[in-house]
Amino acid sequence: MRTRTQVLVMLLGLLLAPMTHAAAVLVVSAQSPVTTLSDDQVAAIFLGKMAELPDGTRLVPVDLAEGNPARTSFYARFVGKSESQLRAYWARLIFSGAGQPPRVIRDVETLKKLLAEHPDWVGYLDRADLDRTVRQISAGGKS
Amino acid sequence: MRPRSIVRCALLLLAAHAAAGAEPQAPSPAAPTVPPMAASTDAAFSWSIGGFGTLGVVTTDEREADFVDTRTQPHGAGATQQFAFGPDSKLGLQLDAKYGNLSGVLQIVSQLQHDGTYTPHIEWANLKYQITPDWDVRAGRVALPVLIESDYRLVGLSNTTIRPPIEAYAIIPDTSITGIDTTWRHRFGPATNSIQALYGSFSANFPEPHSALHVPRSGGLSDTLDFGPVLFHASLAYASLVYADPSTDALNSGLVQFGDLLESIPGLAPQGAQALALERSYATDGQHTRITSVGVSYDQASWIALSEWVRLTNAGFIPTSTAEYLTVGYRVGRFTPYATISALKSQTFSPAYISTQGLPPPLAAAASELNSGEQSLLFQQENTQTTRSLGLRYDLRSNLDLKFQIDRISLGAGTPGLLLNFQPNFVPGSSLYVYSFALDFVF
Repeated sequence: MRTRTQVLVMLLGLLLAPMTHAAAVLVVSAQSPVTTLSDDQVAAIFLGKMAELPDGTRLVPVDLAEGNPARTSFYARFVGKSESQLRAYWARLIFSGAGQPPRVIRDVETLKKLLAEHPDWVGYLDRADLDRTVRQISAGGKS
Repeated sequence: MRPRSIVRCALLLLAAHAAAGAEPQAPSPAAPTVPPMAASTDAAFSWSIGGFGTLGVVTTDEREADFVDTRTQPHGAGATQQFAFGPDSKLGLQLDAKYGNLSGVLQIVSQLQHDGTYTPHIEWANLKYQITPDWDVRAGRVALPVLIESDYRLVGLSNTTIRPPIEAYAIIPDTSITGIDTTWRHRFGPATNSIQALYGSFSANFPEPHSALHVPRSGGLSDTLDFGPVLFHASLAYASLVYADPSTDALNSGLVQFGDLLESIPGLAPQGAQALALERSYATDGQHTRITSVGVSYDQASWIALSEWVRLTNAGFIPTSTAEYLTVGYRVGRFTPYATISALKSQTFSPAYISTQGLPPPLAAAASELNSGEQSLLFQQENTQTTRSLGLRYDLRSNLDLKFQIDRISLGAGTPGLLLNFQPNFVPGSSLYVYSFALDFVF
């Protein structure tokens, strides 16, 4: 019985491993006035449900490419959706003319460069890729 | 502007925009659904092209009638074909264009039509003007937003089940309406509320005997309250009806002529009045119907649930119908097993007829013929049925899924349910199994 449980836990660990090893953090341009966002706001921004904060600050979400570990980790942690769920969600909006997914930036270096030029953009990257060109914003709690 | 002109203008503008932007900013083929220009640069023009499709096959143990997805399809699995691709297979292509606050959508869909062909039709063609980030107006061809999945019911990848419950969608014969609409979105705390108001007209064509439903005026209000994983939806719509159907038209004019004739014969006036009353009760032209719906959906990490209730009110021979369904699914990695129970109940008409008692034989024969014509028309509207489904969705890739589903359909006592093409040995009120397999994709 015990060995079976252990095997199950190991299998589960293997299944979840690719989703959990990257730690994504939310980043904006160093010039952005935004310092903190609630979890609900982060999900709403990246799902295209919110274009500006209650104070009128505009935020434009940008994505990393599908398969990027930071992207997988970000959507699992902040939005609670897998890549398949995300694709199904956007297919609903795209094919009913209701919206388009965030623009995809092909790699982290380009993302950092573009974030510096666009104070209204918000993106995410692996904690290890943080540097002075971008600013991490804290997220969590309720709005 | 007349609806047709609105569509034409929308198409012309779209084409002009597409032509203007095609050269310098062709989207990368690797990410066709992502606009090449960022939304932040408002003045820039961007466009994208994408598509969706389903390759589905259906089989059933019923041999005396056809299972179809909607009654606009002329045939399906059962009496006509043992294995049918028609009910679920479809291919859609969409062009999106955006210039500042103005955007346009053109979506063309090929699926089994009333005439048995797969001739592509325009599902969406509209121009949207974003007045503020949370308020827009659209003109052109848009979806009738009666149910939660109405807007994307054709996009298999977006939905858990092989097809949205046919019982609920049988109440709305067409998915698109030509007209104008406006949506206002309001965010408070973690919730987003969207109110949509819409006005326009639509037509739906049905197979044999080549009837067409025209709705010259339709309007509606729809509200969606989105709490993240939980979503509430309610809608109210009305539709004025014109049913152009040669056999029904012939029946109605037969009833009027017969009624007028009997009323002019001394002693036969009561039967004449019965014939005229039949015509008045069951003619649809100029009548209107109301559609009301409420629904809730839940979509969190593992659990998916979707439940709706929808009612259409009586107009002529179209009976008051109520449908409700519940789908529950549970994600286990790439697999999502799910179950659905879905029911449609149509009002049974009280058996009205022309009394043949006291009529001379030739008139009695005519009355019997009119009676049986009316009974057969009303019988086809008694669409009571319940479907219990078990299915499994497998996400092969993020843009590709496979689904398998078993439906147990129980037709309401003495009714034909939503089946078509009845053979002589068909038993109203029987039960059947339907087995479906589908591959859904988007690109």
